Amino acid sequence: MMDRMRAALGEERFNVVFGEAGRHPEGLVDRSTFMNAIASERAPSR
Amino acid sequence: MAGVSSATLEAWAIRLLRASFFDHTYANSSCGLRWGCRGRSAGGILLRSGTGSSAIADCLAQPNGEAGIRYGRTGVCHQIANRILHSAGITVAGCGGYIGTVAVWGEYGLPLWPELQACYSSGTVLPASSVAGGSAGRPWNLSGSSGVYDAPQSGMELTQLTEFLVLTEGALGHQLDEPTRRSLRKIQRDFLRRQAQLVRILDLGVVAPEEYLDQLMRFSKP
Repeated sequence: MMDRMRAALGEERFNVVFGEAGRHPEGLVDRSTFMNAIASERAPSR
Repeated sequence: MAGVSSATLEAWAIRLLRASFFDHTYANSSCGLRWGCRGRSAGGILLRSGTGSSAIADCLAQPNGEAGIRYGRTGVCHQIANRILHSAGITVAGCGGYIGTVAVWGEYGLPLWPELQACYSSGTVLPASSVAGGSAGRPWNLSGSSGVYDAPQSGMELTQLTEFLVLTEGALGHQLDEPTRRSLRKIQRDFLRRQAQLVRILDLGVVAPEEYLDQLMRFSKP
C-alpha cells in the first residue's frame, strides 16, 4: 500500500502525511502485544 | 463501571524506545481512571485534553480496557484510545504513525461500533463533539476541505476512506486534486479488502498469527 501511496502523492507529500512511519510500516502492529492478544483470546475462560 | 459524568479526559502518546515510528497511546481521566490501551498508561507527551464523561469512557473501554478492538486486526492502541476518548471529542491525532493506522483501521477501528450507542443511551451526556461542533482535536481548519465534519460527528457516520482523506488533506494543509483523491481511495480500498480477507483466514485458522503479521507487513511495505 505504501509504495502506491508514495507514487500517488509524490515523495514530498508522502513524507508530510506519513512521516518516518510511512517508510517503516513494520511498526504498525507491536508484535509482542499482538501475540499476547491472540493468546489471551485463545485461553480457555474460567 | 467507574467514572463520573464530567471530567477532563486526556490523550497521551509515548514514543517507543525500539526502532518504531508508531507511538503508543493511552488515555486517562482527572477522576483517576487510566486506560492503557494494551500498553503503558503513564509518561509520554500530553497530546490534548477535553471535557467528557469518564463514566462513558469507562463503559466504552469495556471489556478489559480494549474497547472492543481486537489488537492488530481491527485496530491498535490509537483506535482503542480514540474510542475511550470519544465523549471528550478528542482523538490521539498527531501521535507518531497516526495517519498510517487510520489508513488501515479508521479513527475508531473496525468493524462498526455498537457499544457507542449503548454507552451513551443510559446517560444524558452528549458527545462533546456534537455540542462543540466536532473538531475532535484536529488542529487544522477543515472548512471547505471535505464537509464531512460540518455535520455533528458520531464517528459512525464517517467512512474509513473519508477519514483518511480528511487527515491527509489536513496534514498537507490543502485539498488534493480529484485524480489524486481517487487514486488514494482506490489504493486504500484495495488494501482494506486484502486486510479483511487476511483477518478472516486468521480467524479460521488458515494462517498462523505470525504469518498474518508477516503478510500484513508485506501488504503495507513501501
